Amino acid sequence: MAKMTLQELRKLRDSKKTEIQKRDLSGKETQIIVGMGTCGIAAGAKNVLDTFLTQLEIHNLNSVVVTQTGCMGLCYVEPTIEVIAPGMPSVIYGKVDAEVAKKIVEEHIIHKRMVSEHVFDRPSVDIIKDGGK
Amino acid sequence: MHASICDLLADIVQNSIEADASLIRISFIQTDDKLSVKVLDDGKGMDELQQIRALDPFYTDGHKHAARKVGLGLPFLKQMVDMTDGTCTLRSERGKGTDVSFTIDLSHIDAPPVGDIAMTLTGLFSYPSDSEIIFRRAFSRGGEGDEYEVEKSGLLDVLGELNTVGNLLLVKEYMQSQEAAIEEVHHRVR
Repeated sequence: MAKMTLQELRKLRDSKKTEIQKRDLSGKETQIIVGMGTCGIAAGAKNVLDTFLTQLEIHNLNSVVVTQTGCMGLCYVEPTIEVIAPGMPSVIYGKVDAEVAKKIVEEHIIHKRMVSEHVFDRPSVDIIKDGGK
Repeated sequence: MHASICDLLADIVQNSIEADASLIRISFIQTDDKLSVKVLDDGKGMDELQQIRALDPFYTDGHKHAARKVGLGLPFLKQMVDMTDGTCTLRSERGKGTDVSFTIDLSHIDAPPVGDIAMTLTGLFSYPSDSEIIFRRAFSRGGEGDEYEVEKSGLLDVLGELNTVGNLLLVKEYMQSQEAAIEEVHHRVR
């Protein structure tokens, strides 16, 4: 396989762009922040990031912004991610593996329902089921 | 402990980003089974005492999490090179920047796997920071080899932004195609 050049990358982007524009897509306001401190990395945050990219693409949510940050201070429940989505409170989810990431995309982002058992910060503990485990 | 060399790399580069580096040069050079990695930044740097203390797992500069007295990034690196008879050096100057370099024999029985380079770099490029990241990668064995260099600014120039799902997948695909060429040499000369 020949290495892709930047020109080829540009072409690929342009072709995807038209493809994206054809679909009426939402997701522009949604942001996912993945904690990639030492704790996050050790717990597998890179796979979580990869899963989010793949899952969001499957659901045509190509405009969702995915960024990273360092440690969010919840090392004991890594990997942690924060989701900021319109119409939803900002939530930090913990113990997010590939399965949970999939659930967050389907439940939180698409159906606007929180994945309660993985909420570790915001909203306050009194509305987290099972004490947040 | 980190599961792969890429995880160690991600951790070190994240330090550079948090040290407000504007330029981060990464080289990831493999000759036969010998891998040598260097992360050079122009961030805020560390004085001599801090450099010694940075290798202590129970030391952190305390700015981010005042109550949590651990800092495991560089200690993990040291642990890995100690386990595998590798080397690691930390050079730094306050106000100038930091150079973290390590070498490892990949054929050592305790050597961790290299990991997913394409995804690791995609992740590093997606940090919301203005740091330029230049990644140079080379592989050679028995006279054959391949190499490539990727600049974050070059990708930004082509894609406009590096933080949407669509663009990150393009970056990943781009990085994978670079890695595939190296992988091909790898298999041919095995």
